[in-house]
Amino acid sequence: MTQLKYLILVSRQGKIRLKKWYTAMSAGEKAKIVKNLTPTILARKPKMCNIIEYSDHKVVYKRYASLFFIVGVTPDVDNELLTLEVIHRFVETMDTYFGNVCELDIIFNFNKVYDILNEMVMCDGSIAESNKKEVLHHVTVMDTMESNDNLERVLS
Amino acid sequence: MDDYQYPQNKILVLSHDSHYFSQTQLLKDLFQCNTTSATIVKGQTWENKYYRTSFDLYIDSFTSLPEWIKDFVTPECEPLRNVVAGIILITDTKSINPQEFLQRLVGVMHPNTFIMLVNINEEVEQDEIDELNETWNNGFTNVIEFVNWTKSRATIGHNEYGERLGLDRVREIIDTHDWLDCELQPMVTRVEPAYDMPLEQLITNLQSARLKFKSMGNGDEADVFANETANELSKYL
Repeated sequence: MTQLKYLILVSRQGKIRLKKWYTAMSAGEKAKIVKNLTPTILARKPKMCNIIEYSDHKVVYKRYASLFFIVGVTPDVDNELLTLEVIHRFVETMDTYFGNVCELDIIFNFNKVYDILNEMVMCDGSIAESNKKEVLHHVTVMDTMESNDNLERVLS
Repeated sequence: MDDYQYPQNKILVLSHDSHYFSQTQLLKDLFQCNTTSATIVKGQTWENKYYRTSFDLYIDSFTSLPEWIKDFVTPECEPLRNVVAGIILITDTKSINPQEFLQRLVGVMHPNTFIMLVNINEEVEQDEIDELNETWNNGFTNVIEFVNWTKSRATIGHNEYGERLGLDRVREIIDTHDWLDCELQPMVTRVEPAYDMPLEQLITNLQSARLKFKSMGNGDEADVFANETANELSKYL
């Protein structure tokens, strides 16, 4: 069972590239989490543990290239190591979709990144699909439908 | 009238007088600019797979960095500082004190301006550069980055996190920069995986597009339609 609280994607320079909240929080609480967690995690040394305690929950993070993937997890429900796998699977899926994903791809295709994430994690923070092929298939179908809609709109 | 914002599209490339050759090389490798003197090169183009934008290169050199900074942080230079997208300082990170340079600059620079220190000292290891980045990456609004760029040892490829090194990293920083008030011309609208559309359907669509184009006559509307149709149909070819 996985019950993610949120996922934040932040660049090494502290710029937020993506945010997804799976539990109801006020705007103030969200801002506080981002404000507190970002410098805390960016300041951590490479050999330090990827799991930290924050407020009433735990935070699992992993760095890929210049991006930090930060995930808040529910204590006693989530497995932190499994969360690391979820992050890795998310990165792998993006990598396949974009072909060696980079920060620029995420900036200019954030809607596609959200689509991939939404296929993998449900709105309550539980895992919906872990099969990379399935996720990519669904996203490609959505792309095809969107593209067909665009063509029909132009021709109509 | 005072609300007008000038585009933040100047990249300042700075080096010590003695690093003239490195500066020339960097300008050539990074910007394909063959200028050999301290000058302003207007109308340069920065391009990647998502956008194209034009920018100006401001090339400068100094004899004394503290003196240069002293001039640069004066109120008279504020209009210039506000339009600088980024500063690329070519230097030997062992010969300068980054603290002295950066702390005086970050206080006065526009928060969106990136500051890159490109090390050209062959003796400096990548680990030392990583340490500098760890120290300076946190707690500043400006993007501050140290990059290793030496000729004898390869500073290409990726580090242990898969992050690009050397000039590739410089390119990445410029790519992900927020070009404030600049016009970005899109190269492609989004990632397009290969779609399958049967040939018959493609031809039918082309025929109906042709009929519609004919019925529109000549004019801007017909041109827009033709361009949009070509763009949409080309995705299937």
